[in-house]
Amino acid sequence: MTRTTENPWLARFALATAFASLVLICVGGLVTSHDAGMAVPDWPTSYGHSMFALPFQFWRGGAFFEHTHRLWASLVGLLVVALTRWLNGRAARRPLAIIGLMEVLAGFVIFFLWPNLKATGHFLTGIGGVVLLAAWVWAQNEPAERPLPQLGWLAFALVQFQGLLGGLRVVLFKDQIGIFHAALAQLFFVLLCVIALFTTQWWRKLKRLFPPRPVPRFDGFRAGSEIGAPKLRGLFLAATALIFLQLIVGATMRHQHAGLAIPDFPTAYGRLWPATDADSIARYNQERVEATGVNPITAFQIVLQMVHRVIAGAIVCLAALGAWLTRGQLRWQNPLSKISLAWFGLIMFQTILGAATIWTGKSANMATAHVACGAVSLMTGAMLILLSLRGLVPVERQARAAGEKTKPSEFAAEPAVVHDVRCRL
Amino acid sequence: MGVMVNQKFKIKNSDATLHNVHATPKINTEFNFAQPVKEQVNEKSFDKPEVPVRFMCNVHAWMFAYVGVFDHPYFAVTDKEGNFKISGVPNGKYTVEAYHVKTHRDGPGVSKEITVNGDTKADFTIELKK
Repeated sequence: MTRTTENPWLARFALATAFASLVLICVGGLVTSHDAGMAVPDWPTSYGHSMFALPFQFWRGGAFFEHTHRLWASLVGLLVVALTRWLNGRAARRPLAIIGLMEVLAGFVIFFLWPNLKATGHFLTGIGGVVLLAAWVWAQNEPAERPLPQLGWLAFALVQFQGLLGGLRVVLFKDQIGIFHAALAQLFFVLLCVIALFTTQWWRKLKRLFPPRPVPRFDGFRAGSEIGAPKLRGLFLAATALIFLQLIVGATMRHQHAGLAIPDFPTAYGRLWPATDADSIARYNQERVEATGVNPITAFQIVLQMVHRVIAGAIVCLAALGAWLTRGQLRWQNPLSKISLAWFGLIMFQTILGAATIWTGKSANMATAHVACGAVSLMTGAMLILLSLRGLVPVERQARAAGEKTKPSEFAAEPAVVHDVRCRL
Repeated sequence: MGVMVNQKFKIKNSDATLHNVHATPKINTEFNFAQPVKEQVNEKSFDKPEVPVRFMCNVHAWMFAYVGVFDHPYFAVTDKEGNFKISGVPNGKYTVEAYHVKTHRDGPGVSKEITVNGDTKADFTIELKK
């Protein structure tokens, strides 16, 4: 019996699932950009019809985006359930059967005992049925190597929770749920990318590189570029955490449904920092030309957009520093250097998209591209953290390891670093 | 338009296309329903005074309207020139308040003390902030 992770189709399937979740983020972005989140008032049905059998005459305007989002989310849900089953192999059969049965029963109980929550009951019953179906499939493969089965279960839980959040946002009229739903979608995408990375041959070969290559002669620090492996990882971590914070701020801005709080860039109402007193806010609102039913802007929203701009500047600086220091220590040929440089380029592009969102008066397509690029930036940051955790080893530890065991590497013959870190990529 | 508290009002879809009717009050209860059929009519009401209550269609984001909900019957919507008439007001002293969505979204409108004695005329000016 072959292990699941030795099947190259698993990596391809995991990658396809991650890509599908990125598309889902894009469609979700279009829903919010077109202010169409409430275009389909009921859930999990759509205008009283089964979601999967909605007549085409209903696919109009904002309803098109919202309904497509629901259908694509269902597809992602199916892919994740299948991925969980694949990653866990035959061991997943019983837990899936139990979970599916419990969800179906919980759905029926909610449906009959709490009629006002019947939508949740419908949802649980439906998704429980899908999970039961996944348990019924006769897959006998061995589970993947740790932590892939556990990550699969996490994705399995998250995709269902996300579906529930999306539905509750519609039936409970809560913008706050929408913000949480949007932020969690970003983490979910990152999780699927991590799973896809861990299923690749490349990642597993990277693991087999320990113990590291023979230790090169330590030739001292170069002025201005010395930094340890933990600090480089810390830099990637800080920048990625800041990107996630930025995505939360962005989601909060978008789910205020107030349009652009500040209509100009790089200035803000013609100033470096806009006035936020009551008279100024009243004037800003009066000067707006409202083509859609947006909410009036508030001082909080203006400050929020300014915070978004400030954080964007900090992220650009951290990404630039990360690319510069990585190049200084690992040289350009190293994959980590290349990825960190690409990351910096991506963040610069994201900054341009942010500015273009303002210059186009928050065009739906531009705003959605900004959301999607933010998700890819977060994912790239997470990949850099993982690669630096796996690939960067402080010289002292490497020296100890090499002293104990000097097995030659199947990768580069020459050391990739000259300072206090070495990369095994 | 204006309605009274607990007064039932009709919402009609005059188009041969799908709309949703999404009311987004801050004090009253929010509601959202679909009108997929031409000539479909739904009845709704609000149980608390609130000015304004925004209505919007999320299928067509450019469609929106505002409704005032009052606890008395003495209200009117101005015409294109800004004229209005409130009928059936008993004689006495009143405070008349004018509201415009661009100027009084979050606060009271412009108000004026008047004494009604038969037909009474009251002029208002709503000024935009400079």
